[in-house]
Amino acid sequence: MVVESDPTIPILQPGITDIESDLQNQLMVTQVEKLFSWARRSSLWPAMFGLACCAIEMIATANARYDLSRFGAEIFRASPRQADMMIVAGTVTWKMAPAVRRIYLQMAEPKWVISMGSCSNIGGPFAHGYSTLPGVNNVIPVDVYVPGCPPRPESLLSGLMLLQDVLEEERATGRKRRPEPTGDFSTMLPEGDPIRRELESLFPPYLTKDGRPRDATGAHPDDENFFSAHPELRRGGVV
Amino acid sequence: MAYGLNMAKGMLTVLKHVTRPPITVQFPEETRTLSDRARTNLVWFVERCTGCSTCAQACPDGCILVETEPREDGSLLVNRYEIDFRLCMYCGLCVEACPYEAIQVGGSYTNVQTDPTMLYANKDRLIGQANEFLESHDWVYPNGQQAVRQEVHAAAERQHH
Repeated sequence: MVVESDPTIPILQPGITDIESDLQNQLMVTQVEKLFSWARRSSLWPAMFGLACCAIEMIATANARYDLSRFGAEIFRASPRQADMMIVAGTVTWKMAPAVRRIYLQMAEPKWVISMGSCSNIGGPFAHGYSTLPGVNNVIPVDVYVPGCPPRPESLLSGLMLLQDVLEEERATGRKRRPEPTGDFSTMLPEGDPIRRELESLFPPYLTKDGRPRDATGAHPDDENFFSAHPELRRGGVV
Repeated sequence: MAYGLNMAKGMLTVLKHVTRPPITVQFPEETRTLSDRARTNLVWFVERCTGCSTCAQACPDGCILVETEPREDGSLLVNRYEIDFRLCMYCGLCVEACPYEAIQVGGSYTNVQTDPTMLYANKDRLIGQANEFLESHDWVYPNGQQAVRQEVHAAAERQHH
């Protein structure tokens, strides 16, 4: 997918997709890193995001018997803006995949993802089906994979502890170890598929669904109602 | 008056629970007793396996791969035995199908990874997991039978020749 970028539209440098990597060459941190990683791993805010039967085990983990709050991650936020950890619990269908990606993009940086259960790891029993995403790591970067169908609450707690270990090693402004998804769905979905177009619009450089670059508001000067929505941007400056 | 009565009832419930032991399992330090058929990781014991591939045929996901080759005495040498734990749905149908109980449930359930390919267990990794299980469980199989240490080691050695 080759796209000519518009120089008037402010985007991050090529190859840099988030603010952390932009900061990497501009900040020098020493002992602050340890403080940051301690603070981050001790108060994770999970997004309330259950898709299938794994969500039942996730709820069981949050309840009194296993008590997720012992690890500082008890409050499941209903808004992704208030969350920094996502537990993808259950089968991700192709129809759900753009929503998963969008919720991930809406979460506050820095953010982490736990893939819980066989379905989100690789597709599980539905891996060869037509309707299921073969692994949630095709859509969002995943830090920790928890096997199980569904995993026991102990398994999810182990995953959370592993994530905290990963966080401890992470530099405050450094890149994460996890691989980013490529955003290439050409081998999985046919050309012109609406879900494929929507998914590709959610990957950098964040084109609109019909392949044009997006500005900060999501609107584009070619749109019909753009200038009535932004009269101050009208050429000539007089409204 | 009714308000005070309900407050008293509530306080009675609170006081009742104060004396009870806490329900929370402090997981990494203490674990719950699992039932025999809990859906935990599969453990494959090479010394019990004849290479008949019944487990692979019984698997609805097709996550078990068995590749064998006949030995001179007619038995089968298991060249490859691989379980994809990313795909496995822990239904236990392979366990029910195996005529020699070479594959059993009861393994680890805390096998979390940052690299998903580590969840793909080849033969060496499965033998390692089985040895780890037997050593930590006093050389008793998950089905309660006693394992013979020499046989286990001899079978593991035999796989390499």
